[in-house]
Amino acid sequence: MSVDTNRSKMDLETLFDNLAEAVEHAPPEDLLAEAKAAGQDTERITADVKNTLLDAVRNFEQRKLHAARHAYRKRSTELSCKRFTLPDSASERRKMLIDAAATNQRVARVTAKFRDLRELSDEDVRSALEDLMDLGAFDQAAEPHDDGNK
Amino acid sequence: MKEKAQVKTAPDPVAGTEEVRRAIAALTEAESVKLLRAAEGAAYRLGLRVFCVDPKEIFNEAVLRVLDGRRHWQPLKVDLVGLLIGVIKSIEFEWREEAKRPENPVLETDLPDSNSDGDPIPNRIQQAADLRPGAERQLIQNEQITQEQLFEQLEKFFSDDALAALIFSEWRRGTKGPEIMTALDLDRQQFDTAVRRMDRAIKKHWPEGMPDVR
Repeated sequence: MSVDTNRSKMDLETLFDNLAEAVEHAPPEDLLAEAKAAGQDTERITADVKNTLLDAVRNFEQRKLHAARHAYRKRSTELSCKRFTLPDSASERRKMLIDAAATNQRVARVTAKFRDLRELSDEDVRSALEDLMDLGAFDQAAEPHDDGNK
Repeated sequence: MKEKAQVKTAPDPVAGTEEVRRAIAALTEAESVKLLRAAEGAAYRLGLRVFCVDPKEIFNEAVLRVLDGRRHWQPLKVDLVGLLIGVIKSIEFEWREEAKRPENPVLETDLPDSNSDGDPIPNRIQQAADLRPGAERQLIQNEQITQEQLFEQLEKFFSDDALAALIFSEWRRGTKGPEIMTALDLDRQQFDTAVRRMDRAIKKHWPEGMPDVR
């Protein structure tokens, strides 16, 4: 049985697949015997293979943890952005500041320096609200409700 | 007429991280050797096309695919070794295919122009370019052998191993493994053992990887 044409009907990829299959179908004990016959340290191989696979499991868990942390941070940022959105109109922003000063002690303390919040310029109202937001004065989680009846 | 009672069976459970970890810890010496042989074989064959792949990288990718759900392990159907061998095979195939794709996109300027009859005419770059291969390219081409030349070399390696030489020769004729086994009256184990001798002979001759073919 010899090759009767100059060109093989097999390509390199098929040869690779054929070689892989001989390991895939082999009983593990045959491969162990071959490795021992070749003088390989099979106990060492076993330890190395197990460590490599267990490392891969640990890597996956760390990636999962990292992804969970990333998702948590992203969600927190989104929530913060939502909380820190100022109303579009100047009158709504002024109302927000006046209402907050009336009901929230932290806001009241900060705005106490202004004699009358109604006389503040629109720009000052916006600036005051942004400062208060940066300070977390409107953070509901930090200060759920402050009705001043302590 | 009685209607067949429809028995709803629960799908086979899919193993989670803990079960995978336990199965790894329980691998026998023989199973570990088999897994290493599979990963080493894949890395060796991939070395022809993909730069710097080692068995650890293949193991890592295989476990990742099992744990992130790209491959589901159903322990009632297949053991961990069978699963990982299958995943390693997929990885080898995919990475080999990826390596075949051109690295750089084809630029419009590289596309050949055509005249009114549709015949290709060289574009400006082609007209300006010296199309003779450079010294480096020439050297690479000279070093590369054809697939046929490679197969002829392989056939010579196996000349001392009559069974291996016969199997290889039949592969070149396009004969499949089961047909060869029948024709030569071999069982699967005898056939696979001869093929693994070929595998070892190849690695012994080219420990750093087989030569690329053009």
